[in-house]
Formats: sequence, structure tokens, C-alpha cells
Amino acid sequence: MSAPLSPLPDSVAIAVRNVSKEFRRYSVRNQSVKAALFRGSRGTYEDNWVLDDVSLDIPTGSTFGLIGSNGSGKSTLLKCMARILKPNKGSITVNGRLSALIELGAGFHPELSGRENVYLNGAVLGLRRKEIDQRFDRIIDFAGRQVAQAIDQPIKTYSSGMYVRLGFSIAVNVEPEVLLVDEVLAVGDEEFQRRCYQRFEEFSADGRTVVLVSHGLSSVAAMCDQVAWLEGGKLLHVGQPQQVVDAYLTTLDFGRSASVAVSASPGVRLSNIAIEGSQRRNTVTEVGEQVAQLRTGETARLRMSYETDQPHDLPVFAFSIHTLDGTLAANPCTIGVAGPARIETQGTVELEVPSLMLVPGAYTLGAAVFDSSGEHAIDRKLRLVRFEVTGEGQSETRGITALGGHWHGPLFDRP
Amino acid sequence: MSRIAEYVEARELAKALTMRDIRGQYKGSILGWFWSLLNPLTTVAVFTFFFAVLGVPAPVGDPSGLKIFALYLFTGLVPWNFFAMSINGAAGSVVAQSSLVTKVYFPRGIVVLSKIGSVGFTTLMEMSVAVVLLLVAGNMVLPWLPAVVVLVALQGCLALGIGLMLAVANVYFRDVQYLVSIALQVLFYSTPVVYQTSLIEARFGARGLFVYRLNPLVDLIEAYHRVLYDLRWPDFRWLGYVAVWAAVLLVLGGWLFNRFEPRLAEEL
Ligand SMILES: Nc1ncnc2c1ncn2[C@@H]1O[C@H](COP(=O)(O)OP(=O)(O)OP(=O)(O)O)[C@@H](O)[C@H]1O
Ligand SMILES: [Mg+2]
Repeated sequence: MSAPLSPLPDSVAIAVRNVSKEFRRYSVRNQSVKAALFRGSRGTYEDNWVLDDVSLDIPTGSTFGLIGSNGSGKSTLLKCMARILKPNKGSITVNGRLSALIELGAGFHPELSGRENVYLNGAVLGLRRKEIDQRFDRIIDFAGRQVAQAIDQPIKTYSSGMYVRLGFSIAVNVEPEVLLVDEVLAVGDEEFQRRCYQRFEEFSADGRTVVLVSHGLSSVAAMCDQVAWLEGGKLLHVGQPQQVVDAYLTTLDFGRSASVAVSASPGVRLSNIAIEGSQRRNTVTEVGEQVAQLRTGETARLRMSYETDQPHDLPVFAFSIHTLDGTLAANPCTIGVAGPARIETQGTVELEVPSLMLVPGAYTLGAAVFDSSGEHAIDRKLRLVRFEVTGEGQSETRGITALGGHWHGPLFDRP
Repeated sequence: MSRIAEYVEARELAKALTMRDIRGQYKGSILGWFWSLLNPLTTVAVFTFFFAVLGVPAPVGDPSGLKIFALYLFTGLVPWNFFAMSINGAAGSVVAQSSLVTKVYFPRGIVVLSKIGSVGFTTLMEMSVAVVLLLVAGNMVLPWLPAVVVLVALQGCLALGIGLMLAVANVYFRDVQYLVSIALQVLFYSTPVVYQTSLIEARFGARGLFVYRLNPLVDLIEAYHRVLYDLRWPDFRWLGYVAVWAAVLLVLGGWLFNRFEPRLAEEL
């Protein structure tokens, strides 16, 4: 690893400077002396740039999220930070002791007991035996009762959740100044995940830094102070969590709609996709964007405009409402409804919803138009428009749907 | 220099990995210790039996006067096992620890070092048994033990140098490990483990002996025989030659390993 060029200011925990990393992508790989001698080469490969000129400052004491689609280079970047991989170009400087959870229980030995493995893993993470002694009770305590009971059993008898608990517990109790976590918490149960997130908050409060790779976008948005979005090895966006996550979700869908729209029958374009409550309220998001604001149970109008170069028979229109983490909340469409028999030039489609039974929260609206079979999208714009639902005095706040029912029984039916 | 500091920094990990290897080896069978000794003892028994059948006379220790074939074999076999097992283990070490190497950063040479360390531990066990047997047979080897320590250290350096090279090679070519086993078999019979150097001299003359001794293992194993069986000093000039080999291989191995180390995680 190259020596740090200049000392980092204390406000920066990790400085990533113009980092590029390439892997060899072998088409033929001769992994034996025999094969290499016979074929006269070690194999043929092409260079594959997995990180491309990434520069990034991660502030000390922040919780930093890293998002991006599969294969975009997140783990590679994390491994470069942890010095497991060496970048081909650029440099990475880290302020303080670093501990990485690239995979839980790295160095766990299946035959040894949990206790022995704590010591082994602690040593892997750079602790001396005495230091582990001091932390041992805390580690077991954090890992939970199940693990504590099995601490003298061989690790191979643990469930994967118990593995994760013990591994994470060791990693956070090493008290690193910088903690890198790659996607490992997903295996833990709800309760454990909550505790981990709580732990991250304590970390930040102590001025420690957490870098988190996750596909759980809603928790990334909720937990992180900053989020970076990596795509195809390039850093696309760094900034406010919600803003970056939204941008990521949107283009994710544009990418998809682009590929879907190239279908047999081109030519219908959707625009002006909007949702409106009876009171037509708007609100400004933290990003500075104007979005519609509705109330649970309010009458809503969903609207889209279309424009077409050629006539289409029996088109199917659909709206889609997603939660921010990508769950489809509703998907009304015109199949089985007396829709237009034929569309020419342009027009507007509107759906009136007498009472919008979504629990308070943020959602996205999208729209699509399909051919008469309802299977091939002609144009589709998913999660295009963000809107918010509020619900003062609303008792239903969890889940997606507000059922809006009435409670009955002796306790309720009072005049 | 900073590399060396890094290794010193990681000594705790080296210790932990060595212990893990040792414990892992003996866990699962209460007789683990016993089994590890059974292997050299069996070899000794087999050779003793065959040489007895063939009527080969046991070497006579000079000046110790010891004349027990089994002990001659044992004093050669323990260091031989140390060499063979550490070379074999070191060659496979980085690949065997790939889950660690691809997930955590540490100076990777630790993996090779700790493998040799754990083999060294087994050797210590075997050597203790050998010493007890020699004492029972009337060979007062205790004053010679410091010399044994020096020999083991020399051999450790030799094994480390070779092991570092092979460990890297094995990441790129996975059959290196098998080639190593084959090479070790050939080496076993071209080293005076089960026979005496004098046999070579008698058969091929002084010049033949000289060529034979170019193999650094010859005088290394011979030194163990002399110190433990004969109770006399080894040939220091030839031992110096062995030390030069060890130094050259260690430097070369260290250099090569250092050079390839940054790429190991992605090639695994
Ligand atoms: N050791 C390796 N050798 C060759 N190519 C590799 C190696 N490791 C990763 N890659 C390639 O690098 C690219 C990025 O991988 P990486 O693991 O960083 O993605 P990721 O963003 O973490 O994806 P995911 O969300 O699926 O975890 C992939 O195309 C992968 O095939
Ligand atoms: Mg990954």
C-alpha cells in the first residue's frame, strides 16, 4: 500500500482518491501447471474495470451508506478500504483502527467452540488476548442469550443467525474507529437488526465512523448521514440519503422501462403523470422538490397523458404505487374495465379513487400502457412521481394499507 | 522495514492461527496426540523390520556406541517429517485459508508462518519422544539439545523460504501441491534418513559423495544423526553451506511473496 501522501484532517475518516481497480476476467484459465504447460499460457483474459476513478471523503463520526445494483463494485470498494484488495490506481487513506465485516465470522473455525472462536476472531481483527478478556462478557452479552448458551459448543452447530450475531458482536466490540459492514446484517432477526442499528447510532455519537453497504434502501435512507451511489464502478452521486436513494430508485426503473419500451408496437408516450387530492395540497421535500400531499382516506385523482403516432386498439392503462423501499402497494389497471377501444393522437386517462387508503408515509406513483394482451408494455414509467400521505389523528400508521374499519364490541359501542 | 514491523504487529494473529491449527488437528479425537506420533513410529517399525529381514546391520554411533536401528531411523525421521510436512502444509496454506485472506487484511505471510509453526509443534512432540527413547537407550543427549534447537531454527528458515514461494505458486497453479508431494518422495530417498552417508561414499566414491552433498538436506539431516545418535559435532563447513541455502531461499521467498501478496486476495 502506498504511504499516505499527506496527513488526513481529523474530520475525514476515509479519503478515497482517484481509485481504480481492475480484475482479470478469464475466458480460459489454466489453473494447473499441467494445463499451463500444455497450452503454453496461463489463460486468456480481458481487463475489467470494476472501480473507475472513484474519489470520496467519508467524514469522521458519520454513518455512510453505499448503494448500487449487483456487481456495481460496492464490495470491491469496501475491500480496497479494508486493504484486502489493492487498487491499481489511486490511494485510500484511513484515519484510525479499522474493522471490516466483509463476511461474518471470517476466520471462524467450525470445530472450535464459540469461546475459542471469539479469541481467534479477535486476534484476526487485531486485538491482544488481554483486550479480548476485557471485552468477552460484553461480546457475549450483545450476541444474545442463544449464543451465550451455546458458547462452549462447536461453532458448526450454530444457526446462521447465531453466526452473524457472534461475528457482529465481536466486530463492534473491537471498538474500531472505522467499521465497514457489507450486507451481513440481513441474516439477523428483526430484534437483532434493530440493536445493530442502535449500535451504529452509538458509534456515531462516539465519533466513530460506519460505512454500510446495503440493499435495504429504506434503512439506508433512515440511518445514514450520507449515501453514495455506485454504478458500473463509477460514483454517480453522493449526498443526502433520501435524495440519493430516490434518484437510484428512479433510474433503476428508467433503466427497466427503457428496455421494456422497445417492444413490437412503439409510439405511445406517457407524460404528466400526477396524483392530486381533493384539497390539492403540496409540500416541499427536504430535497426542495414540490410534491403532492394527501391525507389517508381522502379522495384522490390519478392522471396520465398519452401521445401516440399511430392508432392502438384496446390499450390497457395502469397506475402503480410503490413504497420507497420498492414494495408494490397498489396496481389498478383497465383490464376488465370498459376502457377506450382505440387511441389516436393524444388524450388523458384519469382514475378517481374515492378514498385513498394508504397509511401515512412517502410513496411513488408510476404509470404504464400495455398492448391489448396486457402483457407487453408499450411505455412504462415506474416510481416517477413522489407523493406523501399524512394522517393526523390516524390510528393506522404501520403496514401499507389503512383498512379504515370500525371497532365494535361492548368496549367500543358507547354512545 | 515497515513490512517487518507489520509482521511484529500481527504476532498475536500468528499465535492464534497456529493454535487454531494445532487445536483443530487434535480436536475430535482424544487420541489425537497419540495418532500424530503413530505415523513416524509406524514408519520406524516398518523400516526396522525390513532392514532386520534383509540383515542390514544397525549403524554404530561414534562415539556414543549406540547400535539400535530404530533410533537411528527416528533421529532422521523426525527432522525429515518436519521438513516434508512444513513444505507440504506451507504450499497449501494460502489456498486453505482463502476465506480469511479474501475477507480480512493482515500480512499474508502469517498464514505460511503459522502453518510452519504448527508443524513445528508436532515436531516438538515427536522430538520429545525421541529424546526420551534415546535417554532410555543410554544416549546422554541433553547437553546436545541446544545444538538441536539451532538445527531446527536453520531448517525452519529453509522451509519458510521454500514454503513462501510454493504458497504463491499454488494460488496460481493448484496442482503445485501435488507436484510438491512427488518431489518430496524423491527427496526422501536422496537424503540420509533411512541409510547412512557412508553408503554413498562406498558406492560412488569421494566425488559422488560431494555431488550428493550439494543437496542441502543431506548435511542437515546428517547433523541430526550426529548430534542425537553419534553424540558428536556436525560438519560445520557443510552446515555453513546449508545456512547459505537457507538464507538465499528465505530472501528469495520473502521477496517473491511480497511481490505477489497484494494480488493474492483476488486470484483466490
Ligand atoms: N476476485 C475477482 N475476480 C474477478 N472479478 C471480480 C472479483 N471480485 C469481484 N469481481 C467482479 O467485480 C464486479 C463488482 O463486484 P462487487 O462484489 O464489488 O459488486 P457489489 O457491488 O458488491 O455487488 P452485490 O450487490 O451483488 O454485492 C463484478 O462484476 C464481479 O464479477
Ligand atoms: Mg457485494
